[in-house]
Amino acid sequence: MRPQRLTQRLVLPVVAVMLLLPDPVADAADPDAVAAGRFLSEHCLNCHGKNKQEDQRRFDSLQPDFSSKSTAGTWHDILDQLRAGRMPPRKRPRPDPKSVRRTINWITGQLRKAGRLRTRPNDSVRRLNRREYNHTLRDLLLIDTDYNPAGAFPEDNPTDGFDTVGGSLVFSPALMREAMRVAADAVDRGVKFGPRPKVRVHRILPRMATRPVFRTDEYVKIVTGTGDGFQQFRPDGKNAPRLAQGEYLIRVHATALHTAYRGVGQIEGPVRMKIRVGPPGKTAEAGSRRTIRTVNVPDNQPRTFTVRARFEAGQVPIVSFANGHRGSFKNLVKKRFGPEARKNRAPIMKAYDGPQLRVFWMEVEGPLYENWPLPGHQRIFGSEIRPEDRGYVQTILRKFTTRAFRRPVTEDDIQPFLALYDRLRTRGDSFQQAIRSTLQAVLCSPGFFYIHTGGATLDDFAIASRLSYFLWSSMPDKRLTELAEQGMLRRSAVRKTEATRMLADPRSRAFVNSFTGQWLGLDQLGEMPPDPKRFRDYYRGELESAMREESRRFFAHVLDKNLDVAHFLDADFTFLNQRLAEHYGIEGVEGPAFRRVRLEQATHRGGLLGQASILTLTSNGTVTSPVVRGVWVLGNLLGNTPDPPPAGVAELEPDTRGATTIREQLDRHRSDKRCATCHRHIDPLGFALEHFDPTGQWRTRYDKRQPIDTSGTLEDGRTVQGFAELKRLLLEDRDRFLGCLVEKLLVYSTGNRADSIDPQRARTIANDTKRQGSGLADLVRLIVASDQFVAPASSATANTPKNSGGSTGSRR
Amino acid sequence: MSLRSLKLDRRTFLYGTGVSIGLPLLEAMSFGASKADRTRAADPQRLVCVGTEYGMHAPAFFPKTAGTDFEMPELLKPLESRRKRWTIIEGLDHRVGGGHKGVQAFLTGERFSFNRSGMYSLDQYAADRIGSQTRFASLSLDVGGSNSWSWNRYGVKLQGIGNPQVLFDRLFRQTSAAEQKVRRRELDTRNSILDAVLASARRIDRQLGPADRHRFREYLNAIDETEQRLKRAGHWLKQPKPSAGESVSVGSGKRKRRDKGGGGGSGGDKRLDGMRITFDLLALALQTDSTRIATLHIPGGNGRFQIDGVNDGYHSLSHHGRDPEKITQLKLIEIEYSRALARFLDRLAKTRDGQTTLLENTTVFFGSGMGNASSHSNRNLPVLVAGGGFRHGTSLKYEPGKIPLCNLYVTMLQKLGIETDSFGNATGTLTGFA
Repeated sequence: MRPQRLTQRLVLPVVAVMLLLPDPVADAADPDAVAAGRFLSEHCLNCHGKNKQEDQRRFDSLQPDFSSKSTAGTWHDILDQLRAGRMPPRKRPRPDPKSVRRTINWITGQLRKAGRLRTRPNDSVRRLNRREYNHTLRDLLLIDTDYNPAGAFPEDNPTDGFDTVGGSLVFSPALMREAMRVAADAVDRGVKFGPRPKVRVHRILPRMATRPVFRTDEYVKIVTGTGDGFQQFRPDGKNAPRLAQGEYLIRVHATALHTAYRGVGQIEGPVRMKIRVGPPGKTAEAGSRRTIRTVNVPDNQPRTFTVRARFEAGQVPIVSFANGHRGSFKNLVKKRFGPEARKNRAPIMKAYDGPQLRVFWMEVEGPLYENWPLPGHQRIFGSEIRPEDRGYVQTILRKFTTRAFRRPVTEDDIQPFLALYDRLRTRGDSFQQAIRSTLQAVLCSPGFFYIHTGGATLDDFAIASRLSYFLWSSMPDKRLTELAEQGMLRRSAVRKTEATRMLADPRSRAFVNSFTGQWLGLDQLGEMPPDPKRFRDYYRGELESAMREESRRFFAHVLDKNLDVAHFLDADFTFLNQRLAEHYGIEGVEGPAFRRVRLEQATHRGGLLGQASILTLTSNGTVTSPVVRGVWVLGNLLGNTPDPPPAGVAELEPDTRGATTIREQLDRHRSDKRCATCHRHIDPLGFALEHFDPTGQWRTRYDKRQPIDTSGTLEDGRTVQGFAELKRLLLEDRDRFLGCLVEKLLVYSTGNRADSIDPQRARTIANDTKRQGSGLADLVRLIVASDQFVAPASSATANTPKNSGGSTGSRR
Repeated sequence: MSLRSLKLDRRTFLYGTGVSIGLPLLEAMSFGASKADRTRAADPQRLVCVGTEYGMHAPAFFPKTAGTDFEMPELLKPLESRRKRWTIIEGLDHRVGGGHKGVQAFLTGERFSFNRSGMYSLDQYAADRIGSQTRFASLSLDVGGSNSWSWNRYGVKLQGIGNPQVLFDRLFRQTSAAEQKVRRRELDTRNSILDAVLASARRIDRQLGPADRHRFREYLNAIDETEQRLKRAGHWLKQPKPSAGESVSVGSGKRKRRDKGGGGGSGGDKRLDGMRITFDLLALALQTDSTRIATLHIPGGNGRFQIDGVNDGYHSLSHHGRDPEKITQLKLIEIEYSRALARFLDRLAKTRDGQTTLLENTTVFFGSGMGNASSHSNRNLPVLVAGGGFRHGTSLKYEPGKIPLCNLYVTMLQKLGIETDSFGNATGTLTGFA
């Protein structure tokens, strides 16, 4: 609320206004209006009245004139504050919750009557997001599990934190172009006519390796771990076998040498050989290579290693030395033989006796198909293809479209596709060509691209989709479809049973990854990586992915074992591998595999806030930010995302010269009243985590040796000092956390906007969960069983006038 | 411009990105070539907008004084020799905040929000009005990635082309007769597919309520736009692309400094090389009239530049916290942008276009949506305008926070011959600049 939006001309105080003003401005006899007026004068005017105007807000001259845009705006701001529970502030006497609700209802009602209620309606159709598109295509055509065609789509911007909310799932011409391209590619993968392709073996010899790798007639020699043009075995574009897309076996015949060498270039443990798949030749765009497997290679005994991998058309196998020297060969030579030796690198390479990988040859065998015809092909065309039988074409199209649209289709629905098929056949296309193009059209059509999420009613098939996109990020399977046909999914008990079945299915990992990626922000991990100079260690041994894995496994464990969700706030266990345990300074965890580890008090871990992933993604890569961490805790654990800073506030200019600590800077920041309002809620939560550095390691002092002060006072007056105490206080607030998690899950699963969720119903879900022991799986089951889950998106607002509309925050 | 008569008079090699591209150097490059029959009024006008993600370090970017005889600021030194061809403007911004999130307001004047109505960028606004005459209505370019500054009229961000090879192929790779035939059949198939998709969409559209129809409109628009594109593709398929000259391979592993005006102390940095190549290709795209509207996004990220004296990541440097050492390094990076820009302007100035030079017919706008990356401020944005037939050579200073940058955009749009007196939050044209 900006001051100029307030009606400045003085009128009588609110209470009087409401009693005196005639219709139609306010109904003088309306007891709700009188009560609201009394509420305002009792709870608001002390600080926002004649004598004091906290945050430059003044309500004593506010008129109940909802037809005026600016006045209605002020009322809306009051509404937002009340709904979010931010006002009156905690230190003031608490108003009676009933009177709060009454005031909220009255303001809401008035705003709606005047047509000034800011509603952000939910959409009753929404586009599949990129994840869902990938998974759906995979399950529809039964193609590769790690196929990521939507990688080329424009990014989805999440709304209210989740990419399942329709608002931001836009459709652009660029997306249509990509969708057409991807549809063609996907159909080519799933539909293959003709006899099973012949399996062939292609051998790749050292002389075919891309220069300037060191190669003799017998072997390619790799001595550093950079995996670049100098230090990898990759066939060049000319000699590379031209492979069609498909599954292949890769065989690599190799040995390690001088593993035990000590000195510059030494390695820990055995030589690890990384086998990747990517384009041939030296140049490659970042991300175009995919790691298939990394294997240990024993010393002095050439062996053949075999892995199975999916190749895109034209790709080749690439082999490198995963744990070799981390610098370039030039750097290695300089370090070991002195700066002069740089000029004689070739002979040095020849005679080099440090740890190395020798690769004698590679082989690619394939394409391999376990089943032929392909299962997806078989499912579309059946066992007997009758190309000239139009009835047959009609049947297969109906079947395919039904599955692609995830609902029963009418003859009308398939008519456009049949017309396309006919047109292409008339043009002279073969059956195979024409049917491919027709299937592509189905995959570009809105029936495939859009999930029906509302309309007048959420029908059985929409419920099936809602379940499957919630827990699998993919289309309903056969059983869900059958239940939908029988009308069973309207029963909450059936949905509960289905949820249990679906959570046990491996497809539910899509839920774990996607929900944790968005709720916790794990998807942002790595977007602002730590400064490589100061945090060299961060870049050793795939730490970042280990961090992400810890949080995912932790969530998956709480889900699978139906543990109390309070474990997210504090737990005496977590999941670690050796690399991450080293990062935490925890001993006794060896090897790259993750396992459950019991945590002692002294480890300063336990709960989400002790996980390096969260602590890293809430830092900016250089220094920790108590503000960002505080916002994270408020928004993701306590369900109260603070508003972004108002326009016109001077940004905090970081001063890294070390003269001031972050606390001193923020103290200064808070001396600005406009900042203090929010920051006194935010900052103490973040300061309590200051013992964790930007990569989540425990520290006792700042870099420049200043001491760390983790003390603070929370908005409700409780004092906090440090991580352990913060966890204890959060556990006291576990109900609030549960409420927050319910809301997040409701937004994610229904795709409804956060502010259209009925708090009453959400509270019911939370209470029921609590009664059953607060297990996460129980919570998921209660969500799918709830009315809210099957409420059509767009009418969720209309059905619950008490809570409809309104917005918190995003308007500024 | 007829492209039949193209003749190669020299070859240019591009090093450093691993791509090797032979560039066409057109006969038209030298003065005195034909085409004199073209009248000044008929010369097509062009617009190029170049923006950096982290702004430019303001104390070294803006001159200390206003007027024509300002002392050249450190970051603009590479542009000294053509100081009469550009204007530097201080004090304009979009009146939005948001730090890094506010940077996308660069060409739109609006900060991104889910009420996306305001995200419509200057270049797309122009392309929607004058873009139909060229093979590409506009080009949105990036260095290495797929980011861009372009937002179309539906508020959807366009993907940038960040790979010079891809850009080169789009601009210059010829299609053979056989390829054309295949391509034409493909276009026909895709058209037919779109027809089916549209018919299917209409059915669904009829079933939707008015509120949802609004959302679904996007999808129908996408079909429509794609159809238009296919139609245009069909048209341009018949027209030969401009000649691309001879493609030459770069010797492996060798790094050569390219001709003068190039590398400076940074030969070999992949991103800088990529940026220069993109500028080169952009100049060619304009020269061959393949497009008249383009944007170039100069990315951020924390990668370290291979520049002597720079040993910290770009993003960390932009958060210099007034540390003089970091500022020195940051300036080493940013001056490379000025060098590349200077080289680009040079190239345009040396290229004949109608009665005058390509630079005179091209408005080149260089700036950012970020004013001060160290404090995440989107105020007082860096603004430099070159070419386009404006009166140049001045340092203009406006009282900060008073005049929207969009006023300048209106001025630039009018220069393109687009009759408008508003864009974004403009209050008019930019007084004092014409």
